[in-house]
Amino acid sequence: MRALHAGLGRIEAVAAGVLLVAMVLLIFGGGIARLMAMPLNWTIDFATCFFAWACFLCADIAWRRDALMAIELVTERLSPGAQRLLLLLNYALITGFMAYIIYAGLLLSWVSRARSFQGIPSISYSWVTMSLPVGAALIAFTTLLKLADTLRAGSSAENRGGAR
Amino acid sequence: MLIVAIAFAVLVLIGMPVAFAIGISGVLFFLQHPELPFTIPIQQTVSQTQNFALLAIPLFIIAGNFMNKSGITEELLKLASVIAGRLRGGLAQMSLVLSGLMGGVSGSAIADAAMQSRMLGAGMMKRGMSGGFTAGVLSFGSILTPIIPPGLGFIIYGTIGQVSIGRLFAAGIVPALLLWVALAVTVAIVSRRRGYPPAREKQASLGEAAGALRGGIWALLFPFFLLAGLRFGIFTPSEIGAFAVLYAVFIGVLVYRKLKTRQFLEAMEGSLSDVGAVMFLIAISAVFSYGIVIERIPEVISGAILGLTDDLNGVLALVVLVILVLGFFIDATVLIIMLTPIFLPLVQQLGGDPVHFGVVFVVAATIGNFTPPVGAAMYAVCSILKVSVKDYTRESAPLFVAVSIVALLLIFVPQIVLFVPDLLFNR
Repeated sequence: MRALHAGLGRIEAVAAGVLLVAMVLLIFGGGIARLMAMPLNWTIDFATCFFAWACFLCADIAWRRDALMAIELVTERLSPGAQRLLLLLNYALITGFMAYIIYAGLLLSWVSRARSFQGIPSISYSWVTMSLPVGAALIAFTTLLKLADTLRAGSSAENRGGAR
Repeated sequence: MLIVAIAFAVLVLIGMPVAFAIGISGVLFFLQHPELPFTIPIQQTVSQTQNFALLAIPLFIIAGNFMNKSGITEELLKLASVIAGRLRGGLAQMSLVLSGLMGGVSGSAIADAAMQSRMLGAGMMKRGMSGGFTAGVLSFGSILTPIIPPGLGFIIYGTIGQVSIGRLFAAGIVPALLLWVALAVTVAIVSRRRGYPPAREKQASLGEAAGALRGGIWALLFPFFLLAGLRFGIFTPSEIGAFAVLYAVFIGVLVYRKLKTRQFLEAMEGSLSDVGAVMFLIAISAVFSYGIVIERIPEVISGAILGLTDDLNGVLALVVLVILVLGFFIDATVLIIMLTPIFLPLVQQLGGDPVHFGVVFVVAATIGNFTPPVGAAMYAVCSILKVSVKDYTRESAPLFVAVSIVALLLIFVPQIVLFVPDLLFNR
């Protein structure tokens, strides 16, 4: 399970990096093309589509590294046991929220599949919408592993306490 | 919306990352309104990423990461030594100059404070500066970074509030100079009283000065490129962001030759989580904005504030006070994302200038990064230098006073802020 998670982590990091670099090149290229009076409007469309994917992949990358902004002013003053309980509550709520995003996101992608992306008839807007449920699935996976870690760390601490 | 606000406050207080707290409490609004389709939060979040103007934010984050790995910092440190090394408390003065110079390439106060603590912190304490004061200078000095173009706070405020980013960039120049003078004078007074030595014995030779200038010229010119590109309407802010990334890669690879494959990958690695942390928050905050618009929250809050006073200066003072107090607990980026849509319309309704308010907002929110109990820059500096928050708080008090005086001046004399943008961009 953990090997799968680590493997997914490498894939999503490479994918997000490639998408971001592509975004830079597309936007700069689009600007230059416009300067030379040959506007390439599709560069903007693809850049924003890539960005949706990069954004939600990066969200999971930040969550893996615990780099999402949080306010720990109150929790850091609590006892370790209370901190652990709150952490478990947080992870459970986040997992539930991600489950909702995955369900509603897939549903929206399905019902709006006929909506075209930027008026390009052969490309469905669902390609953009799908980025959120996919990102949410990755975040849910990360959260469940964090949940398992917290549970395990807690039970081993109790065992040590009992042995003493 | 009241239930939403309470849920948000509770979730944040139990340590949930702000982005998830926004999402979960925002969805509660839709549970209260079963007539609204439950897929709207998804649609809102995704469509936020399809806003071309918002792409400027990740692009400047990436550019900042590449600049930091491009080798430009070492060059700028040499330049700072030539400019300020002879002064009393030389390393402290150098760190202020370096923050200003770095401001022209990077836009994040926290990144600047952390980087300078690693570069200069140990040296400052070795020369007899107290730990608390060292940490204070390194932390407060970084206020210059987000205010000198390109500042990330201005880019976020400008895209969310639909305010000209070019004007905001131009408006940061004079306030940054004033803040630098105020901090430099404070450092000079403290250094004289405590007898802190200069960093170098002799004035730099002309040759050394010329060499340092040549090394730093690429960073010095960069803000002017940006302003010129925006001023003449050659590029949109997002295109300027893409240009900034390529500029950083260009000088890192061809000019300073420090940006090898390893540094490139490190810069990219850092960018991924920075982009994720900021953009996920911005994207998901759209769930909130839907409810905020439906329930006309800005009008409700405006009504409450206008009930106290309808004088523009009074309202500005009140709003800044709110931002400052919230800033003691909440990160500047989060404040700008969440409060711009609420406070900007109020200020504009009373005839306030959106560019002036933007500068005041970013300065006030950034000051919160340096103050206990939850200043992100303060934490970074104190943990790198192993200085206690108590020492930091006591010894950085004069710097806090200096910065606050400038902030008050900026609030009540808008001309200081608006002078340069009016000159550059014609009103």
